[in-house]
Amino acid sequence: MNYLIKTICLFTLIFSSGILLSQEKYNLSGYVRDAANGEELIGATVSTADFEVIVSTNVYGFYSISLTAGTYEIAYSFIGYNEFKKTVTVSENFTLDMELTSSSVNIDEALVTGEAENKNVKDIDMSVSEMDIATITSIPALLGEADVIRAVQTMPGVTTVGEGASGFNVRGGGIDENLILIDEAPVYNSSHLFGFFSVFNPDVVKNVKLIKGGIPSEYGGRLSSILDVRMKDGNKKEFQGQGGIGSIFSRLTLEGPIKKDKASFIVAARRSYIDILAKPFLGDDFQDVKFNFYDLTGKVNWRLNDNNNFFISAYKGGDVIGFDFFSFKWGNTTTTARWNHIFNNKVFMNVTGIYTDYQYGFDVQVDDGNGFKLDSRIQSVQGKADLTFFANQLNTIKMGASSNFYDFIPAEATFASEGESNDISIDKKYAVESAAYIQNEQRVTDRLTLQYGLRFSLYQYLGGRSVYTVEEGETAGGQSEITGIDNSAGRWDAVQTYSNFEPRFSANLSLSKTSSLKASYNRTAQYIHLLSNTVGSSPVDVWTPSTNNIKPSMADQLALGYFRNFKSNEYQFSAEAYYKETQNVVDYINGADILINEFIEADLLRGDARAFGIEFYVKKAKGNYTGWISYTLSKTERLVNGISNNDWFPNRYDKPHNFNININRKISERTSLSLSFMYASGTPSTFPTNRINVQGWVIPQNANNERNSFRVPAYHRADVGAIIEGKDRPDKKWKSQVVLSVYNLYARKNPYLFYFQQNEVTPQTTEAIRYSVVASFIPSVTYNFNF
Amino acid sequence: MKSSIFNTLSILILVMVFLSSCEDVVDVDLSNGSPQFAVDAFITDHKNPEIKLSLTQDYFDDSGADYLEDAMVSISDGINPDYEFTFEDGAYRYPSIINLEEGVEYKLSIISGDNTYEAVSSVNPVPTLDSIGVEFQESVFGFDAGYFAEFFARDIAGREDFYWARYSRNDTLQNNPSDLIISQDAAFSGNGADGLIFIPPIRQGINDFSRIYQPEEFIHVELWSIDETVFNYLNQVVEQTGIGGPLAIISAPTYNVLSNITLISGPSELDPVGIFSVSKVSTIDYTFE
Repeated sequence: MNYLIKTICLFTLIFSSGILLSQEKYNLSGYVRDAANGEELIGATVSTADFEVIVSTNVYGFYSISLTAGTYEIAYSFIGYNEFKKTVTVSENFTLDMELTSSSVNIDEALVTGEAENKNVKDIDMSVSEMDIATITSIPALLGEADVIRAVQTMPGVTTVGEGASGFNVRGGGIDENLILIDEAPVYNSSHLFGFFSVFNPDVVKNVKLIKGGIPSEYGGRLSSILDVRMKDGNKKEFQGQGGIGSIFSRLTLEGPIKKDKASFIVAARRSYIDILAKPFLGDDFQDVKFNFYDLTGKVNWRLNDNNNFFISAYKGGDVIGFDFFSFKWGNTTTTARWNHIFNNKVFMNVTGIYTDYQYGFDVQVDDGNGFKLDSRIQSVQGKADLTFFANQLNTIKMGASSNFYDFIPAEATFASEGESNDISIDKKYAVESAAYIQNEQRVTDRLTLQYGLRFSLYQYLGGRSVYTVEEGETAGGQSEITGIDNSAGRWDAVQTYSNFEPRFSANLSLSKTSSLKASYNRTAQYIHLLSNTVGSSPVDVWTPSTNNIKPSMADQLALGYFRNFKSNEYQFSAEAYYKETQNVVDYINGADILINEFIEADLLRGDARAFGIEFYVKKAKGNYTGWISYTLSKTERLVNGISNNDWFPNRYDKPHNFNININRKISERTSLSLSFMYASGTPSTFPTNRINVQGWVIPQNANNERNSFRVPAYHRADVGAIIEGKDRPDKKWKSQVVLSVYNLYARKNPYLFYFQQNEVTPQTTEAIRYSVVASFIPSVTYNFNF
Repeated sequence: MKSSIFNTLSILILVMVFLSSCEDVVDVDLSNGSPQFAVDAFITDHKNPEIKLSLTQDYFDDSGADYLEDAMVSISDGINPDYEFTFEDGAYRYPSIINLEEGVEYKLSIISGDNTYEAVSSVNPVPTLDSIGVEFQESVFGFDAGYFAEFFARDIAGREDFYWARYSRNDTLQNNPSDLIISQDAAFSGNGADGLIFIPPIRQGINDFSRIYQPEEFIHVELWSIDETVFNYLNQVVEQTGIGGPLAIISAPTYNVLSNITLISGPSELDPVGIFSVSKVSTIDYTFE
C-alpha cells in the first residue's frame, strides 16, 4: 500500500508542475492519410519546422499538436512519403486533415524521404521495433510467403527454438508471454501448423509494432511483449486488388470505397492448396486427404462525420488435416467493432468491443461403433474504452478501462467403443479479467521526457463448476494431492480474486540532437497460461486460467538504452540492456498429463524465472544498400522446487547469442536483391548419462538429475531473395512482380533436437539421433500482382 | 502455361520441404553419471517369479546388463511366511508360482551390501480375455494382405483399474518399450472408460501394422493387472523410449522415470531405480488359419 501512495504522490507532483507551466495554447488536430487510397497513417510525424514541438499520429492516424498563438510552418512526414509543409496561423483550436503522397524511390537518393529526423532518438519509446509492410516483404521468406512473425524474429531480443515451433520468445520470456493483437483482438496462436507460417496475411497488414520493454500502461495481460498488428482499412478512393500465386499459398485481396472518402471495405483470402494439387499424383488410398491452411480477413469502416469513425473487422483462419477416418483442425476467429470519437481538438476516444474464439479439435471415426471426438476452445468477449487527452504542449494523458470475459472449454470429448459411448468432457472454466489505467507523457524540460503511469488489473476466477484445492506435492516435483472439492460456487461467484498494481515508467534524456539515453521500468501481470510440456509448442497445447491453485505470473523489467544516429540518420544505432524477474512461472511434474485432465492443476509446479541481456541494433536507412544488423547476448533461466536439484537451470528457449543481418540492395530500377543470415546458439536440452536395464528395455537416465544441462549445436542459416518488378506500363492498371527466394541457402541441417533410442536391429545398442526440421535448401517462386 | 509451371514447381517444393527434414545418427559426448541400483521385479501369478538386480551403466555401454548376485531378496505379504529368493542363472528366483491374493499389499525387501531397499505394490483383479477378433485386410499402401487381430475384454466395472497387455508372436515376446499397451480402465487415461470394452487403439495394439499376420502364425496374449504407480511408470517408459521421428517436435522432454523402490537404510551411494509390480494375469492364444 505504501508503494501505491508513493506512486500517486510522485504522479501528482510531476503532473501539477506541468500544468502550472502552461500558457495559452491551442490544439491543431486531425488525421494524416495516404493521398492515393485514404489509409490513415500510423506514427506519422507532425511538427513545427524547427522540431521544437513534435507529435506522432496514433494508431488511428489522429494527431493533436499544442501550439501557442502564432504563425507556423507545420511539417507532416512519414517514412516512404513525401514531406509536406503547410503554413498555419494558430489563434484557436482547429482541425486540419492532411494527405501525403508516397515517394517513388530514386536509387541515388535517400530511401527514407519522409521519416522525421532522429525519431528513434527523440521518442519516449524504447525497446520497440516497428516495421512497415515494405520492410517485411523485402526479407527473403520461406517459400516466398512474406511473414510478419519471421520479420519480428530478426529484431534484437527476439528468438525462437527453431523451425517447426510456433511462437517466439522475447527477452527470455515464454511463447505465451506475448500479447498478439490483430486490430486489438488477442490471437491465441499466431502460427499455422508447426510454426512455418504466421496467421497474418501480409497484403492486409498496415503496421506492426513489437514492444519488448517499457510497456505503456494501456497494455496488459502478458508479461514479455506486445505485438500490435493493425490491418489496412481499405482504399477509400478507388477499387483496388492485389494478390499472389505462390508455391504454398495463393492470396487475393479486394478493397475499395463503399462511398468515396467516407466508407470503404477490404476483404482478403489466403489458402494453401497442396492438397488439391497433389490429388492427381497420389494413389487411390490418399484421395480423401485434406491438408490446407487458410486465412480470411474482412473489414468495413465508415466515417460518419469529422468526429465519428466506425470500424468492423473480422478474421477467421485455421488449418485442416485429415485423411480417411481421421481429421484434426484448429483455428482462430476474431471480430472487433470500434468507434473513434473526437470530443474536441484535445480529446480523442476509442471504444472497442471484441469477440474471439480459438479452438482445435480431433474427429476419429473408425467405424459406426468406434470413434473419438475432442473439441477444446477459448471464447472471450471484451469491452474497452481508451481516452487520450492532449492536455498541452508538455502533457499527453491517456486513460482507459477494459473487461474481458473468458469461457475456457478445456475439453468436449466423447469416445465410443463397440457402440458404447462415454462422455469424458471437462466442465467449462470461467474468468473475468479487468483493468484500468492512467498515464501521462510529460516533457519535463527540453531534454527530459517522462512517461509514467499506473495500471490496475483485477482478475476473478468464477464458479459454475467443481472447484478443487491442491496441496503442494508430497514429494517435491511429484503430483500434488487434491484436498477438497467444492460445488457451491455459482456461475458469477468469484472463487478467487487477484488484483495487482502495475506501475509503468519510461524516461528519455536527450544528450544531443542525435543521441539520447532511455530508461524504463514496468511491472506486468499475466492471468492466463499456456500449458505445454512438450519440447516445442504443439497445436494442442492448452490455455488455462489462473485459479485458486494456479497463481498469476508477475514480471518486473528494468531496461536502459543508448540511442544514437549517424550521418544525418543514415545509420541508426541503439544498445539496450534489460533485466527481468518473473514470479509464478508454470512448470510440470515428470510425465504430466495435460490433455483432457480435470485435475491438471495437480500436475503443475510453480517457479521463478529471471532473464537479462544486452541488445545491439544498427540500421542503415538510406542509400543503395539498406538493412539492419542485430545482436543479442542474453541468459534466461528458472528455479522450480523439485526440478534439477533445486538449482537454477536454463529455460528451454535460452539462446545466449543471437545474431541477425538483413541486407537489401536495389540493383536496377526493377530489381532488388536481399540477403539475410542468422546465427544463434543452440537450445539447451536434457540428455541421459546412464541406462537402466529393465525387462530387456534400455531406459535413459540422467544420474545427475539435471535439466537442460546440455546444449545442441548452434543454428545458422542464410536466405537470399530477389524481387523483379514487371515492366511499368502507365496505361495498364495491372502491375506484377516475381519473387524468387532460396531458404537455407547452404542446406545446413540445423538440429532442432537430439533424441536417444535403441537401434532397431541391435536393441542393446543405443544411439543419438540429430533431428533437423529443414535439412535442405528450399527454393520458391511467387507471382504477385495488383490492380 | 504459366499455371502448369507453377503447379509443377509447387509439388516439387512441397515434396522437398517434407522430405527435407532428416535424422542422422551422430556422436554425442555425454557426461558421466554415477551408477544406480536397478531393480527389475515384475511378479505374476502365471509364471515362477524372477527378479533381476543390476547397476546402471553409461548410456552408450552396450555390453549388456551386469547382474548382481550377492543380494538377499525376499517378498512378504503379511500373511504367509516370506518368500525367499535364491540367485540362479542370472536372476533371483522362487521355485513355484506365488498365489497372489487380490487386495493384498506385497512388500519386496532387498539387502545388497550395506543398503536395504524396499518397495510395495498391491494386487488388483484382472478380467478374462474373452476372445481374439480377426479381420482379413486387403493389401493397402503397398503392404501385404493378411490378418489383423484385436483382443476383446471388458474392464471391471465399479473400480479404477490399470492394465498392461503383452503379447508374443510365434513364441517371441513383442517387447518394444515405446509400444507398450497400457490402459486406465478401458482407455488410455482419464475418467469415463469404466466398465467398457477396451477401446480399439488398445485392443488393436497387438498388431505390427507393417507386418500383419499371415496364416499359420500364432499369438499368445496376456492381460496383466497393475497398480497406479506401475501404470505411471510404464507410461513414463513409453514416453522416454518413444521420443523420435517426425513427432519428435512435440515429444515430451527427457526426464528420469519414477521408481517405487526406496532406500530404507544404508549409505545412499547407490540410489534405487526400477520397479516392483505384482500382477494377476489372464491369457488367450490364437493361431491364424
